[in-house]
Amino acid sequence: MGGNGGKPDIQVALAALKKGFAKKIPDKVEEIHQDWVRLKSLPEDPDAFQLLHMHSHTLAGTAATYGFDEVGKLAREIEITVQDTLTEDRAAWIDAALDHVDTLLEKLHSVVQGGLEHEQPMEQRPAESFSPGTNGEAWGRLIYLVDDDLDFLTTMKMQIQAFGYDVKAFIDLDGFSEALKDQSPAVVIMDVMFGDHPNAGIEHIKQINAGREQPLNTIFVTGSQDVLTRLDAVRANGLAYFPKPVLVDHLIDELDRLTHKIEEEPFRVVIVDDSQEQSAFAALTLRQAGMETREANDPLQLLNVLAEFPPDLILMDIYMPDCSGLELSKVIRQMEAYVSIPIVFLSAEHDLKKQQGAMRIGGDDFLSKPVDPWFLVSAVTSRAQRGRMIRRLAETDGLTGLLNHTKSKERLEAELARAKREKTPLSFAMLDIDHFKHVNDTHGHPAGDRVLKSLANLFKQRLRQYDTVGRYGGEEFVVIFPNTDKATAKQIMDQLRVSFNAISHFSEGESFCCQFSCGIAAFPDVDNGTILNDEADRALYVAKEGGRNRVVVAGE
Amino acid sequence: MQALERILYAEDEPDIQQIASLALEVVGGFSLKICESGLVALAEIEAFKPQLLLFDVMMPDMDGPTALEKIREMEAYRDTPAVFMTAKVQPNEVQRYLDMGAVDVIAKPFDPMTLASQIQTIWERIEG
Repeated sequence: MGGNGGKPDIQVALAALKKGFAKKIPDKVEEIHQDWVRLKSLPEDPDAFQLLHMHSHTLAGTAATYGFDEVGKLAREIEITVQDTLTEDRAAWIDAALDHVDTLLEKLHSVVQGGLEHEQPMEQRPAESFSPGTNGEAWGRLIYLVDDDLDFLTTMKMQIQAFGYDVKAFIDLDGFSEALKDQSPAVVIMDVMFGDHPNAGIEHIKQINAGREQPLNTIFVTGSQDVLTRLDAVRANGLAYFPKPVLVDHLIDELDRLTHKIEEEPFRVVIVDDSQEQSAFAALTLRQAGMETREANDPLQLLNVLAEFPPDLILMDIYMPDCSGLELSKVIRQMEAYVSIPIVFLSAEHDLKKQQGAMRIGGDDFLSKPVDPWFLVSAVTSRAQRGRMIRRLAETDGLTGLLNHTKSKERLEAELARAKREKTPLSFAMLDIDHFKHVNDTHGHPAGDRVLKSLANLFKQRLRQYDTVGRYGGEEFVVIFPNTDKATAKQIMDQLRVSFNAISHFSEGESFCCQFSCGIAAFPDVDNGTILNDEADRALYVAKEGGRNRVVVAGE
Repeated sequence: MQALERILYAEDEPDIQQIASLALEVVGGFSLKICESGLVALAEIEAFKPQLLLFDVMMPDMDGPTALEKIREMEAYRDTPAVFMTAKVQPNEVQRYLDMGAVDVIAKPFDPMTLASQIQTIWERIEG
C-alpha cells in the first residue's frame, strides 16, 4: 500500500465523522417516517413506495457502516419489508404490513430519542476473539486501585471514596486480573513497581490491553520519576502519571476528568478566505466533522464576524486581495479579546521562510493547500482543543474548575444585559460556607479544599447547563440563574443547601459535615450588576446574622 | 507486481463516500476517484485511468453491474479488476457478480479500518 496514515489522526477523523453522522440520524429517520405516512395516504403512488425503499435502504447501509448497528438493523428490516412486496397489491400490503412497519418506526424513534447512547460506537466494537473485560460493563464511578503497599491502598481507597467513587482495592496483580473478567472499571489506578519488578504494573497493563479492543483507562502511580519509566507508561496507554506521595486533589481532578465525559460544545471555527469555493470546502469539511463554522470572504468584515461568533479557532488564507492574512492576524492579536484564539494559516505557500514569518506574527500552524480533509479536521481539532484548555485555565479557578471572580462578574453583566433585552427575570445568588476557617483549622487545608471541591461538584451536577457557577474567592461562591425569578432561585438554593448538608467529608479517618448560607438578589428588582452584587452580599450577611445554614432573598 | 495506487470508486451515498475515503485514502494511502453513480464513473474513467474498480451495486442513474458492462466495452478497461460492494451477499448473487467479471464482492457494512487491507489482499491475489 502506498503512504500511511498516522493512526491517532485516523481515530480522530473517524470519531469526528461518526459524530457528524449521528447528528443526521434523526432527520433520516423522520424522512422515512414521512415516506411511510405518505405511502399510507397514497397507496397507489409508485414514488411513495420507491422513496420509502430507497431511504430505508440508504439508512440501513450508512448506519451500519458508522457502527449504529441497532439503527441499521431496524432500517434494514423496513427495507426488506418494502422490498418483499414491490410487485404485489399495494393497498393490501400496507394493511398487512401496517403494524410491523409502525412498530419498526417506533423502535427507530425511541433509539434516536435515547440519544443513540446504547448504540455501540464503531471504535468500541468488541474484538472478534474473546478478550477478558470487554464483556463486563464499565461502570461510571468504579475505580480499581492496585498496589502492593497496604498502607497506600487503604488510605487512598478511603480518600477517593470520599469523592463519591466506588473503589475496589487489590494488593496483587492476579486479583486485579480476576476482577477484570467480571467487570471493567471506569479507571484503573496502578502502581508501577511490584516486589522486585520495577515495571511490573506497566507490563501487566500492556498485556491486558493487548487483548482488549479498548485500552483500560489507566493512571500510573510510582515512586520513580525517570523519563524511561514515564515513556513506558505512555506506551501502555497510561493517561496520567502520578509520583508518590500522590496529591489526592490532583488525582481526583484526573478521575473527574476521565469519568465525567461531559459532551463538549462543538468547536466554532471562522474561515477567512477571499475565495468562496475554498472557504466553502473547508467549512463543509469541518461541519461534517461536527464543528460550527462561519465564513468571512471579505477580510475587512472579519472583526464583525468575530464579534458575532466568537470562535475557538480562526482558519485563514494567507494571500487575499485587500490585506494579507499576516496583516490581519496582527490586527487580531492586538485585540485583547482575541489574543488567545489559535490562528491556522491555509495557503498554497510552500516557502518555509514565509511560514516561519507567519508563525512569528502569531499564527499557530501552517497548512499547505491543497489540504487533505482529514488532516484539516485533525489539525483544527487539536489546536482548538488546546486553545480551549488555555482559555479555561485563564478563566477558571484552579481548585474547583468554576469560573473565577473576574469571569463570573463578566458573565453576570452579559446575562443581565440579555435579561433586559429579552425582558426575562434573572436571579443572582451569593453563598459562603459556614465556619470554614474552623474546618481548615481542625481538619487541615487539604480537607478544606475537598469541601470546596465537593460543593463545586454538587452545583455542577445539579444546576442547569445555562446556569453559571463561579468561585468568588476563598469559601465564597456565586450562581447566576438566567430566566429565573427569585422565588424559584430560593427554592433551588434551598434544595442544594440540604443536599450539601448531607455530604460527609473525610479527614484522617474522621468524618464531618458542612453547611452554607446564601443571599439572593434579582432582576428586575435591581437592574444594575454592581448593585445586584451588593444586594446579594447584604442578603448573605442577613442569612449569617440570622443563624447561618439558610437562604435569604434581598428585601424579604 | 505493480503496486495498486488508483481506485475508481462509485457510490451514491455521501456518508458512505466519506468513510470509504477515510478508509482508502487515509488508512490505505490509495488515490481514490469518487463517482456518485455508474454514469459518472463512465465519464471519469478515461481521465483517471484506474487500476481497480470498486462499485456499489445499487445506485441511481446507472447501477454498478450496468456500469461494469459498459466499461468492459472499452478496449483499455476490458480486464481492469472490478470489485462490487453490496449488502446483499446471497451466494447466488455473489456468483452473478463474479460471472459478470467481478473479481470479488465485499460485504456492506465494511469495516473502515480494514477495508484497505481487504482491497490490497484482493489485488495481490489477482496480480501475484
